[in-house]
Amino acid sequence: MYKKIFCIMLMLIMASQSFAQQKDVSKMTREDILAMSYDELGAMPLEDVMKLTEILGVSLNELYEMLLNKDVTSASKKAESSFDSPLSTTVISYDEIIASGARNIQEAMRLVPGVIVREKTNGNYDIHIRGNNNIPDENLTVYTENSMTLVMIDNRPIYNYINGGTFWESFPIDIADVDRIEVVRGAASALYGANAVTGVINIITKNPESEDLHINGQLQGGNLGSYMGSLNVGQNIGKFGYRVSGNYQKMQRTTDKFYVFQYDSLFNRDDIQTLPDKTSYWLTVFNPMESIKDWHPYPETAVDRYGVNANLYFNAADDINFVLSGGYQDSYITSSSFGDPSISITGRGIKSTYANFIGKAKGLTLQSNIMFSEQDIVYKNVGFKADARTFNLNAEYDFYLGGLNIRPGFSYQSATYDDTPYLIADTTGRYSSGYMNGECSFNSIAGSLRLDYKMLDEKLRFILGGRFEKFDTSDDLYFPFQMVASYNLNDKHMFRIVGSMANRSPFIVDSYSNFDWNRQGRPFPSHMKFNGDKDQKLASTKNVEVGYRVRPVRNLFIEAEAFMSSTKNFGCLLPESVTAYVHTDSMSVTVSVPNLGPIYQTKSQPTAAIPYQVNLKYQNIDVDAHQYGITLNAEWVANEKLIFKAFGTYQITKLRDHNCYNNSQIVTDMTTLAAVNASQGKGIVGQGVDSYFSVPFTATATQQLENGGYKQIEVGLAQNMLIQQMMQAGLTKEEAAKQVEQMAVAGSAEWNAAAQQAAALMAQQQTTINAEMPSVIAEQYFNYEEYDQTLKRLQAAGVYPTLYNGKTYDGRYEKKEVEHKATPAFFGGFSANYTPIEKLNIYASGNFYSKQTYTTSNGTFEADPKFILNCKVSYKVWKDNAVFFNARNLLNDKKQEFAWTDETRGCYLVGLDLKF
Amino acid sequence: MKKVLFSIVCMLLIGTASAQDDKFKALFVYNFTKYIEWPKNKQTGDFVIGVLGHSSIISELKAFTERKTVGSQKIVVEEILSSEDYTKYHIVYVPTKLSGQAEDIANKVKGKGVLLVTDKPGMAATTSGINFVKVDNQQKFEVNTTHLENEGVKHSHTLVLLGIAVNN
Repeated sequence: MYKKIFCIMLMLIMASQSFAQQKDVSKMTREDILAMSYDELGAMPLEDVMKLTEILGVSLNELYEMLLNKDVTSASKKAESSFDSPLSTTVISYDEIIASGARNIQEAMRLVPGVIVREKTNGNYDIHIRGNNNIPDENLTVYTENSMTLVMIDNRPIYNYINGGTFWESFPIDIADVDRIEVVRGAASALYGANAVTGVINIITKNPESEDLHINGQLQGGNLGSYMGSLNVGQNIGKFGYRVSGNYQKMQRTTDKFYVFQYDSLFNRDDIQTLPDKTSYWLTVFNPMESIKDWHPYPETAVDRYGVNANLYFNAADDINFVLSGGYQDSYITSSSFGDPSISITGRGIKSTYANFIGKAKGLTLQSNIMFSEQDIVYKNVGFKADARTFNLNAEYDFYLGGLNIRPGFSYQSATYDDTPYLIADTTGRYSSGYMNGECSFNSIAGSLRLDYKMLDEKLRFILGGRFEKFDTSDDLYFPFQMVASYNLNDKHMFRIVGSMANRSPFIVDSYSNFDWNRQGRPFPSHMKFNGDKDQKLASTKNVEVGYRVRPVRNLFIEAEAFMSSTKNFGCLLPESVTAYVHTDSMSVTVSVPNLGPIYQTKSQPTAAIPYQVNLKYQNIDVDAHQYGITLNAEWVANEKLIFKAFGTYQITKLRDHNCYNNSQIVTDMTTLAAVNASQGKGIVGQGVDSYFSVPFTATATQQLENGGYKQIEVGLAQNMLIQQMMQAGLTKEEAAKQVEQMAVAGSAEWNAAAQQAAALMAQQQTTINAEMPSVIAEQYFNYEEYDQTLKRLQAAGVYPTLYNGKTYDGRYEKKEVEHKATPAFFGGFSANYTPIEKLNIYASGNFYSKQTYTTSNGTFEADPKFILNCKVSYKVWKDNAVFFNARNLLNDKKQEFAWTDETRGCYLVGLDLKF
Repeated sequence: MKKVLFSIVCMLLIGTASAQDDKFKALFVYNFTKYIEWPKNKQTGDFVIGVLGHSSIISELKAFTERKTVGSQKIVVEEILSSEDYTKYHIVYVPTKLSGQAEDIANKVKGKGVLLVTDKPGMAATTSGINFVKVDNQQKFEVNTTHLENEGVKHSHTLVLLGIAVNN
């Protein structure tokens, strides 16, 4: 009996063992199947093989969904598939960024439709959504910066409050931190707050997903001095989780030279200091009061940055979780200048620390963050460095009332900038050399409401969003809004229409500019004052879009979006008034030094007028940018090994009521008018002495003295003193100048004594050499509304041409409609992601844009059409860890992509992608 | 140099054949041998699977059939390079790109005990006994029992149940 029971039990155990060894096909995953050997597969009956293909097939469908219909939250602030997204939305995943070979987050933006990305210097990019850049034209290069896009990291705004632009290099995070980047094209302030005028870029970082230690990142190095790495480590421990990350990036420029506007060519850094000014032989192109070696301590460096981040997560329950993040970054780049120097590119150094808290409980989301930063936006250029503190608080509550989703919100934003820690006060304790000369603060509060209603089996959807914003810089109340209707026909066709209005935020340049530019040693005018104006209107846009998405088959996604926008209330710093010295006769000019008396005398030429003081004020301008365009985007998963993407935008931007506001021309015109009026006894505010810096010196002598440790200005002073002495001894000016030159070259005792004397004078802050010209002082105010008529009247009276070097009035202040050429009319890109075998991945991508023309106060720059090809080939050597070759600008196309910035070059790198 | 680099990139991209698909098609072909009975005169010697033209499925088939037999017959996989005597094969697989030759082959092997496997939508209805198709991205096969009989092979009913029955 026992034997029988024993045998039965043994047989049952053996049977169960045997059963256990059989794989349960229905529970197998795609990875399990792909990991099976030929023998294992061959041993399977056809029934099981059929099941395997079903699993693989389903997985492929999931792959399509994953690739073509990614989840997105930015578009409506709720997680939903990008196919259903009510706005023009693109999501770029971490995997795609890694596969593409993009070296940083900026370059990854080249994967997004509707975004124009132009490389300025190696690894530094200009990034615009649909353009509208360089408005107004004929002004400072800084107006080419994108100041109308809301850029965020985890919903934390990170644009700067100087002009609303984004210092991309100062992000504490890098690619390893990124989970995905969501881009919304079109005005979206109603959902996100101020400054989402052309769109939103929201970089969403990873959350630890499991209790296993997760590590990802990459290390790479190549030509152009490129070394970079970013690493991210995280895991969950019970209800808690952590994630820490670090990144470092160093890239060199393609040249160590600098473009000098006046000479239209590149020069070595050290040669620029003494480069003569073409317009005034006794001056130099570069400000003699500053040192170009200080400005550009690393002329070859394009990017040198690092950042570290730490995040703590607490998942109390499925719908209650908290994240606390903090980090630090330090960056230095060389790129297009924020200022108005004689060279096109300057350095920028930024250090910042941030803390960010996000709490979600049921339907309530609370986010608060603070950032402290030190921003030297024109590196070592006196007056451009400030400490900044920004604080944001945002609360939203999400709930349903029947079928209506309601999301009220409140937000508070505060920013404080202070440049006084980096300025030297005068004897009265007053600051004057900064761009703010004090502490400036912005505060804004906003209330928002979003209503989302779905009907007809959720196929038809209406969204209404509105936001009231109050900035403390102005009495005006702003009301950006958004209206969306979408209809999802049958999960294959989706139609949508969006109408929205959004406005820009006020920024320091607009509201608080208080820059007194003492141009001693520079061509006229001697002083320029830049004033902000809080009462100006904020730039705002009205935007209408019609969109259609279709998935004719599972593996193909096509999207078309047609858009039309009107943007007005642009603003810029424009001349407000000019104070001019008006001379009508030839007169003697005496150059004198305090405590030393006259050292140089000459006769001045008859001069109409010299602008002495120019006041510029931030002013709205009439121009209205009308934009029409269409963006097409297609993504095709040919099979699980090959994925194609192609996108392109064609757009036309017309500037209506456009005036050609070139500040230099306006100042010249106003000076001329001042002279005309003064000759008629009008506008005269007093008698004065025109005093300006006029130190002649030569490059050779300067070099000699610099070798001896003297400053350039001291050289000029020494030369003047010696020349004066010799002229008093009977030599002509030319003879004296020649002799002084020889003394300087020889380093004679006399020369050294004069130089020491000059240096001593300088040390006593007796820095001014005055040319004194008794004059009439006249003021002229600029009113562009009437300017056109004023100039026409002057021309009709025959006055204008005689005073303006014979140049006749050319009608440049007449309002016209012109085509805006700074934004390329056609731009786009493509990618092909090919995985011929599991371990090998080849990602080829390209971007192109049509011709573009930048017109700034420095002249006109035409960027030719360009096609940029990139390719990354990676091979997995162990699990998901791969070695790779990465080629950026594979064809080494050197064409400049941005005005007066560096030639681009191919950057070829090898490296490791890490994923554990 | 630029052109060469560009050409290389393009060439790499053009190769779109899916190795995973080939692997499972080969697995199917191997499995068909378990559900088909060949005439007595073809149950001796090697069991020869012929693949028309050069195709990556050949290496996959070889991987599956290495050291495998059909009954006592050793399985051999051969590439068919020219219009030769197709009757020596037990299975002839016609890849998609050479589907135009399938009808000619079908006529030549009629009643000769050769299973014709094609790989183009609609071919089972017109030409072959078994044809690969994709339904909702899942690899399936169609079975035309009339054509199987014409080819001179007997099939198991299970094969029809597992596949998609297509009869003209």
